[in-house]
Amino acid sequence: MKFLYSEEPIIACSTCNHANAALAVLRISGFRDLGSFSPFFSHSGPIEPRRVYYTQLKSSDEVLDDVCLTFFEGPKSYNGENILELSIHGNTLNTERILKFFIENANCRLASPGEFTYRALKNKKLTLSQVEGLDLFLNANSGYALDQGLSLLSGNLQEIYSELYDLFLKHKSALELSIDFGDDVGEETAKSYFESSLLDFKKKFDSLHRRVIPMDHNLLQPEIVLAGLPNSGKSSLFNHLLREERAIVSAIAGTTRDYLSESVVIEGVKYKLIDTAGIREATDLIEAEGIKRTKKKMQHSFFSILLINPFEMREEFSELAKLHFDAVFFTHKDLPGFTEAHSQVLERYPQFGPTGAVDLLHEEAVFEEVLNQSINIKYLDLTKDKPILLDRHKLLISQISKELDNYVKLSTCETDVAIISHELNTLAALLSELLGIVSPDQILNSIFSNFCIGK
Amino acid sequence: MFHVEHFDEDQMQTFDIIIVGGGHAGIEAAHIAAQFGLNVSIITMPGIGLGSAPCNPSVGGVGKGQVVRELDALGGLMGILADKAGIQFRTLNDSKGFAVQSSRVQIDKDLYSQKAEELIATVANISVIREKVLEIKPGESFFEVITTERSYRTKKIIMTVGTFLNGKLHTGSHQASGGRVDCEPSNGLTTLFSDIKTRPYRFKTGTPPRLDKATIDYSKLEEQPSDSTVRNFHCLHSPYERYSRQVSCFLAKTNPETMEIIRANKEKSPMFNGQIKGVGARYCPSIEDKAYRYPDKNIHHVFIEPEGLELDTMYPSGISSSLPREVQEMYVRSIEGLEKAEIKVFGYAVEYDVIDTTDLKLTLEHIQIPNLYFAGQVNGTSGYEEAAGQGFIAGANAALNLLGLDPLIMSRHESYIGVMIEDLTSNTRDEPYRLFTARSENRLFIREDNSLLRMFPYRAQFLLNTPLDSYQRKFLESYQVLTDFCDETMIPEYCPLMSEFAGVGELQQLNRRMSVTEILKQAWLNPISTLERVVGYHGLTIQSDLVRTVAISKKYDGYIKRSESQYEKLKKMDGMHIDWESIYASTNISFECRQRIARIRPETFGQLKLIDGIRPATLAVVAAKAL
Repeated sequence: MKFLYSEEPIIACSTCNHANAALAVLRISGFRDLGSFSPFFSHSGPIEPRRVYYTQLKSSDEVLDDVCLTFFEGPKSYNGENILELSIHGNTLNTERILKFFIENANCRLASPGEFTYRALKNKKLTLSQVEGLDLFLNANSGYALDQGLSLLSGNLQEIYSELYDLFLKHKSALELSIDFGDDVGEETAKSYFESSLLDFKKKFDSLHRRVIPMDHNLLQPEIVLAGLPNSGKSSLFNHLLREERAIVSAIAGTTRDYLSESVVIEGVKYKLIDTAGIREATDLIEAEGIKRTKKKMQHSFFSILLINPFEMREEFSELAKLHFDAVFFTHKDLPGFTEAHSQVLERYPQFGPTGAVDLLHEEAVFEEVLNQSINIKYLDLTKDKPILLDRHKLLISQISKELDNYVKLSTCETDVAIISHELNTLAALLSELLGIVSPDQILNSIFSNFCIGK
Repeated sequence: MFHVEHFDEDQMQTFDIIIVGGGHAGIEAAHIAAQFGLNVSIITMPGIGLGSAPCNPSVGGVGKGQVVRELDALGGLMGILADKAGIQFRTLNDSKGFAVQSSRVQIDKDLYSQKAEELIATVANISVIREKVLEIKPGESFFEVITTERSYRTKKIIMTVGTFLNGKLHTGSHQASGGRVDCEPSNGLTTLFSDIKTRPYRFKTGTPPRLDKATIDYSKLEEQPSDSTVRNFHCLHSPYERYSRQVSCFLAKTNPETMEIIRANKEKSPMFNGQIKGVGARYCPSIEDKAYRYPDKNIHHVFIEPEGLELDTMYPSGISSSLPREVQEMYVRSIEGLEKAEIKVFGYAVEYDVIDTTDLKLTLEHIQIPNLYFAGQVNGTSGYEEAAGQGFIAGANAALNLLGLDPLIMSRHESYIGVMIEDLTSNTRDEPYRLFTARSENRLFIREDNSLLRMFPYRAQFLLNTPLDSYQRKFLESYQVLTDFCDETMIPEYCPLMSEFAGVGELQQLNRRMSVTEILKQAWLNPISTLERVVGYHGLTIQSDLVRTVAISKKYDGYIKRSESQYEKLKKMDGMHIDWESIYASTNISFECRQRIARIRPETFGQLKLIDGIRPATLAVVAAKAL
């Protein structure tokens, strides 16, 4: 997040989605004196913080709107600054007009995206991790992501990092204890502190590391990919799942040139549904590009569905058959000769049997239920260990895991304690990225709260 | 207030630098300042020898041995004196890697002080004045120092007054004024200087009872003889020559009965019944601390150390106490081997004033009062080595400043002295400060073996030309030659040396042509004996100190380079400017952290980090701003 930071007050519509609504909420942040706004409101008495006032918004004598006004006085506000929150009528024209009014008359500037929160970070109302949590929360595509966002926002994950960091400091102090106070505590004691503290740290870390699952299941914005040869019924299924005519459905193979994507909500989780281009001999370039993208899309998908039209099998299907799919369905069950065609395909590709054969026209309710269930089961399965969703955290935890393995190996074979301690610094740097930064005094403090030493 | 007599200016003796206090800080300050040809005086309490050792009779130790060698390479006294008075030598952390190995020498404390007197007496431009200082008055360009006898004038003044400021001794309920046993205290800072702010609280330190040498049953104790392989501290001394007869130390242990006696008498301990208000160091705990703070631990090491060859007392390290005499007697005699021990001097605690070191510059000069320096225990440190290091910095800087030369500012990246000075001046401590290797971020580099190399640029800054300087120049040249030899000499795989150096297992074979440098980095090889062998094989004769320094430097080379790049990154972060007022105003940071921040007023992230007790959460909050 980079802003050309300037101190002036900022304004934005906090509910804006560019559609008319009953209400819209405007926020003005960072002004010095509430009094400078008093000419704009009909309310004449004092305005106390955190009370709602029903008043008229005026431009000289003209009434602009009836609004509800709340004042949050800094530093006890969301971002530590003075904040004025206005609930206005949510017609987009009205919103635009009022924003313009404040920009022209109250020395405000339109806020950059995220600037309110940036100021909260700057004013130390939120930590980086909380900001990340807020971002996750506001953009969550599922209940799970919502929960994790909230958990970050309230500092829960931070708490776990803190505990991990404390265990790390304990281990580091055990090592320093053996160097600086070996004479006082005795070698045996120092060694046993060293070993047990490493074990404790590793145990705690491993439980965190289990929450980092491979990157290719993108849970932040899970994608469902429809794949299959041209004319296998992908677009029909796509439209069916969306219940609208979005893709061009035609009987000519290869109509869907690139891919289409739409959002679909299944069991409270928002997925991106993607209809890929069909795979066929790359006779024209656009189609070839589409095939390449299909494969690429498949790699990053959360859930992949292969549709097979047993009547139109082509040689290039063998390419598709090599990939892994979460679900495979045969289409065109309503056509005569389906059973024979189906078994012919299975003879060549036994990995696709037994699978559902779908007649989208007649069995949609049952089909949809089966599909939704398997998607949901996979989602629940992947989220049951509370995976960590933020890439920055995932990356750091994976790096720590690698360094920790190296460190454990080193600590068993290296006799030079100074070198062991030096290597521990690499871990420390990564851990402090997850949280704070190591200072020797923290380590010494930890030594003294846990060990008895003498002169 | 004292009545101040005014002397005629002509009658008043005038100095360039007066050092108040003749302890380990004072003599280093005076000695180095005198090297620059300035007119220096030590004013010290009558009846106390220079460089006396009122607590443990040893010099060096983990982290501290490095300081002594740094001082020695800079031209300090401590190494010379410790060698001359050394009666038992030991390397601590012998098995833990070269970087954390430190030398420690038990000293004959009478001999040490006697050698200090002799050495200072040979320096013509140091006058030792044995009078008690009553008041110091800052003037226009001079300070006036008023003693019980007369007044002196000086351009610069260095306070190395140890534990004497408002000193108060405690043994049980018995209290006495004094800087140490049988010594009167000096006036408090508030009397000495009316315009220096003292700290709102006092520090405390303690010392154990001294035992009669003849009443200990040594057959029940573990003997620790002197180690003849420890190199002398002073670089110009013959490495392994001993100047005094060598004796042993002994290891005793406390037992449940010992600790029970102490626990049963808790209300008689001045430290725990509220009689002592001063704060002691957690890392130098009294036996009471150990008994009350760790109720489950009953076995503690007690090192029985000789205080001198002629002295009839032993110093039991690890059982310092301010308990009443009869309790001290009881717990001492509960220890195996000490059943019949007689106490010659009882243990006591001493409380004293300390100054706020954040008021000092990196030269140890007071920020508000120019030309006034503070060094040693009055700065809230513990230990002779820490005191000596600061004394040297203050003395050298006072002199350099008078001569208009660049100040001596030592980097924490290159020396333990630098670590200490930066820690002290950037941070208000709430307990006595002692050096550990853990305080350094660059431990693999700041070692004993390379202290000459590390100190050379600083020493060169003095523009002196003594035998020490020519020795250092020669050492540095030879170091370069041997380093180049290691880099450039290739040993082929069929050379008999290579099979000699092979370890067990396939991974420990040297089956290709390698440079000597590469060979020295192999984990299973001792770099020193390896390089010795290579040098011998090539028919060269090289000084053992040099081989040691080069071999260890090569061994750590890669690690040090990596840590330097980490350090660079950290330094960038540390240099980041922070607005302490806004942090203080933040509601998201704990109350104690905010209090500390308000007191220290850190300007950079690095300074914030160094504040005692700043929580990781606070750092995270502040660091977030940088992203």
